[in-house]
Amino acid sequence: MTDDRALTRRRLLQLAGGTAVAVGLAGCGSGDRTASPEVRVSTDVDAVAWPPLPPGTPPQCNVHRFFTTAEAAVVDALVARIIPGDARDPGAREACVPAYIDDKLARFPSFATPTYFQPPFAKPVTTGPVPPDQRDAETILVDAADAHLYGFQADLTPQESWRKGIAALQAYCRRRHGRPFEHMAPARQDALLDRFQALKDASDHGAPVPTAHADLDAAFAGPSASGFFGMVLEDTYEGMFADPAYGGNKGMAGWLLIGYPGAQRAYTPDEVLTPGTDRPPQSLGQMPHMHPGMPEGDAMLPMAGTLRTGTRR
Amino acid sequence: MSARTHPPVDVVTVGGGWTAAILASKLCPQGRTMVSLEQGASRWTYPEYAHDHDSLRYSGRYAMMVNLRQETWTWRPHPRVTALPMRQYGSFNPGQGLGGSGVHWSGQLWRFMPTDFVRRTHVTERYGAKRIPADMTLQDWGVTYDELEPYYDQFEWDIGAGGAAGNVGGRILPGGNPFEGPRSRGYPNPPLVVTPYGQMFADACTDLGLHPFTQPTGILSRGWIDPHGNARSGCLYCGFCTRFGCEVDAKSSPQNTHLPVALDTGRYEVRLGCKVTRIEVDDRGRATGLTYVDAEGREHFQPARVVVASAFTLENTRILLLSRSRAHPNGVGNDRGRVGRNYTYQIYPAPVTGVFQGRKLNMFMGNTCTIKVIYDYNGDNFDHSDLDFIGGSQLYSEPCEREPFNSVDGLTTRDGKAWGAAWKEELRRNWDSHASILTEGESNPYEDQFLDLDPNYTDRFGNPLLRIAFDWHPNEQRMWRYLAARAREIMARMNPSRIVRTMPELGRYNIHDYQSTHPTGGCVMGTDPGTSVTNTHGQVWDTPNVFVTGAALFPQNAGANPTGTIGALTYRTAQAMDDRYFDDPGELLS
Ligand SMILES: Cc1cc2nc3c(=O)[nH]c(=O)nc-3n(C[C@H](O)[C@H](O)[C@H](O)COP(=O)(O)OP(=O)(O)OC[C@H]3O[C@@H](n4cnc5c(N)ncnc54)[C@H](O)[C@@H]3O)c2cc1C
Repeated sequence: MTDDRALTRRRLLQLAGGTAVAVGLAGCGSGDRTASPEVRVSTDVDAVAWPPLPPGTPPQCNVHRFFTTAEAAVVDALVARIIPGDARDPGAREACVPAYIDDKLARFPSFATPTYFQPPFAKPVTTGPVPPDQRDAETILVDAADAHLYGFQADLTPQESWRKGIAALQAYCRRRHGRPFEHMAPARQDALLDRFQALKDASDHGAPVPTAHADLDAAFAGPSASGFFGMVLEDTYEGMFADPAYGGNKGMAGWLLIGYPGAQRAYTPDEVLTPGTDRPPQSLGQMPHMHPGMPEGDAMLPMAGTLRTGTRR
Repeated sequence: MSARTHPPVDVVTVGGGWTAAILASKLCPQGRTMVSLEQGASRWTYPEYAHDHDSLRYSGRYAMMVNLRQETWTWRPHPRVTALPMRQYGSFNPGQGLGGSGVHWSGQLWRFMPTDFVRRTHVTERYGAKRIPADMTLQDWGVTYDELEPYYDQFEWDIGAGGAAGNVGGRILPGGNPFEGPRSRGYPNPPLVVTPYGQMFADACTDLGLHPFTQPTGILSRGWIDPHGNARSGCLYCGFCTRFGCEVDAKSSPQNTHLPVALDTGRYEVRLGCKVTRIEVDDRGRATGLTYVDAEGREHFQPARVVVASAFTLENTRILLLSRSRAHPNGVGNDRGRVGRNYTYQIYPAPVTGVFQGRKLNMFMGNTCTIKVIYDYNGDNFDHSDLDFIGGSQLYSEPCEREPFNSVDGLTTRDGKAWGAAWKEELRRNWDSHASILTEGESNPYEDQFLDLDPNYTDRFGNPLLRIAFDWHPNEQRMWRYLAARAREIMARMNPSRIVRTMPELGRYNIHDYQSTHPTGGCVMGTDPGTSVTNTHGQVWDTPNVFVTGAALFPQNAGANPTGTIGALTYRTAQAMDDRYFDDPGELLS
């Protein structure tokens, strides 16, 4: 049986010398110890949590660890306009998306997604193409018209981007609208987000900043207005539509909205051929045990900090 | 720090991915000893993938990919400007860990077409040499489809490939790809079932006189015991496939095909957590082995008679360039400055996306092989006499396995927004009622499109990162215009309630959108050392006890995924090594 073979092989690996995970035998005497990658020493601040696992204890909906109370109010107001809702038809606020974002930022002092964060960082210039050998000590100069082709190049961590972005937003709203974002009327909030969208559209295509929105663009020194807006959108999507094991998507509100059945173990060929499904959505931990007859412990759903068994249906 | 030296072996490889496992499965049973030095960790079907339907971890955080915290690749559109690092995953996702990218791949399994291997000759004979742009360094491979056919066949039968044959011995069969090269026999298994959207696409193509067929696959469509005794289950259509390991071994990977065969000999070792930093070369210019750093930062040396670069396209090129020595001052294989040349890729975006309100498409079930494809506009299957480009592309129905957190913004409102109350309503109605037509197009080589070492950015050991110069050229932009129009015709035939977006122009390449993990070229094969780095066995011209495996050998990329061809080439190399190399070590194989 496949499983027996796999296990035998795995046992064999573990026996190959203490922490060694070397496979195979010949040419490799018993003193030939290879260190397990699991014990790799790293200076990376996030190494313990990478690759990220669902938090051992999901965050509570209204408790924040990274954001200040004032910041949390802005995040709450922002995500409530990205995916609006109410008690009957939940949106991002009702699905605990702010708690998801706060937990992600609190758990990752640096990046949740693997990121090469070594200098030099890029500085866009508007003087045209920059030859390869031309750079100053700290930065690499790139043609601003091409900057959008290179993807993420910021020298800020997500924590810094959220914190500085919220401060810039609030300063702009106070100056321009006489009140902080969370106290603006929803229609006004939407109109402002439309302006962020216009800046993002321009930036995504390497187009110049539309003059009508130049003041909003200028209000953000780092992150950029379009970069901030893009980050708010992405974190909201994650919080609303990723597995509830991560703390957002409460009550599977996001999945119920779009008709996604979540982490299913299998579909039959007939189900694939027949349009639509009426399976209720389920989370990772609700999947049935995959390998009956194998030790339960080995097939547990991994969670950061603790190991928790996936519950059988 | 003095490197610890290990007992010598016959063969040492950079990386323990798929091509390394193939070589080991062929050479170790014949008595050869082999060590693979793999930077990543061990992982097996059980228990590692038993509970892995975690989209955020695998698709969002790239749990199985090369760790970008430690190194990446830099990119620039052309050599006249500075390159910047790909700081977060975008264009491609090379894998790391036992089995390499062969664990989290998608399973779309192709043979290249006979004309793909003689591209330059074919275009010249049919359309005249003038049709090839002056800066397009198109080449013949030096090996033909007919020579590779037996190896394609072996690879497909060893992994239990699924599909409907379109051409057996020259006889065109219904249901298969009528444009494929002749095969000696059919597939060992039938294709997978197709989702409703795939069927809609196929119906529209048939109406238009085109020739749809089901995607050939490296995923088992039913239980299978392979010729080596590996017992594997059929596909569960779970919807968590690309970027995930398969919990029932339905998706072929080194772990359920070639690795068991190799490990059972007792002559193969994969040493994990080991990062190879260079190929060592003696004063005669021959490789002596590999230097690597283990997980605790200690340096080692593994001597071997043969060194194989099997670390995926990009790292293969980089390791040759990093291995400078007195005998080869510009790196292994680079005495004539040909390493890095002919870097190509894949044209991949979606030319058109439609909404089919009221129709459920099951886009979250199945995988990338539960789809339909047409080859009518691929390669030279259509007459280019009156067209302003050469080359072509597959068109296919959007792959399934859709995950919501990274796909919701693909459905926008009429005014292009992916937020707000109207968008929420759109998601509610149509998240599973919209889909695209996709391309998988040829990428041609150009003089200003190449790989070299970056002067500004390094990995954690201070070694320079690989630098990529790449952008679309006018031939590809014109090709796209034509293909996008064909895709819109098919979409119109499917009668969508609304078009979400179209992409009539290819525009410029960017490094941040995922566009397939099919970087190809850089150490290309050929018959002329003036235009290639290796012979057709992947044997490096100027250092003949070094071999390269994988897509780095492709002189240019065809309109199909690479692994079928990579597998066939590696089988052929293994056979040549086993038959002839060790009798006369260090001599070039004919
Ligand atoms: C997301 C994705 C989807 C894909 N889908 C398809 C598909 O549908 N169809 C298809 O045909 N192909 C597909 N591929 C491509 C396929 O996976 C590869 O062609 C195949 O795995 C290549 O085999 P390889 O041996 O060349 O490299 P790999 O299998 O990637 O092995 C390379 C190994 O080398 C290791 N390594 C690299 N550098 C070093 C170093 N310096 N020291 C030590 N170890 C090192 C890596 O960690 C890795 O394990 C896909 C790839 C990806 C990433």
